[in-house]
Amino acid sequence: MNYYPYPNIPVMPGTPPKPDSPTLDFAFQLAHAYVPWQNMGQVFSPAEALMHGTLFPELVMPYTG
Amino acid sequence: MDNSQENPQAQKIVQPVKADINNNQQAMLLEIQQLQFTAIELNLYLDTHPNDQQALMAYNSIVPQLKQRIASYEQLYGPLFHFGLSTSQYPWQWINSPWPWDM
Repeated sequence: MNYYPYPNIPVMPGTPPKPDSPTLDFAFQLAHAYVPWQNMGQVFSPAEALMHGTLFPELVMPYTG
Repeated sequence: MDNSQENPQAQKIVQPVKADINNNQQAMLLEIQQLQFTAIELNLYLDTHPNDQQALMAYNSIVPQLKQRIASYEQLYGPLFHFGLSTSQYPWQWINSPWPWDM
């Protein structure tokens, strides 16, 4: 596992200590973010787009929480 | 994904907008907002897809429609923009209510 130190950033509780460090240094583990590529298909009419908050039907994701 | 045969300008059946349209001024402003939003969406899409000809064609067809509707609105109800983006008839119209954001 690779750890990358961020010395000046506050550390989340539970973050593992850097294994090879004798001090209480902490480190973040790298994560990966991704955004899938969008391809334009059928789009809304301008009136529908404004109502939905997006021109793209595939991006209609009403918040239900 | 092959969308080459789909027409981005194909108008689906437009559902009635929930907001009360109680006069022509509001109806015209709403149509401008709809076209403007569509232009923004296509603009943002094109920022990351600069080679998408379909999106560019859609954008380039929205722009003159938006300009035309803004001109029609301003002819009837006064300037929509200030600071040099709209002209005014005499006397100076920008101080007249309602402002676009008050409607």
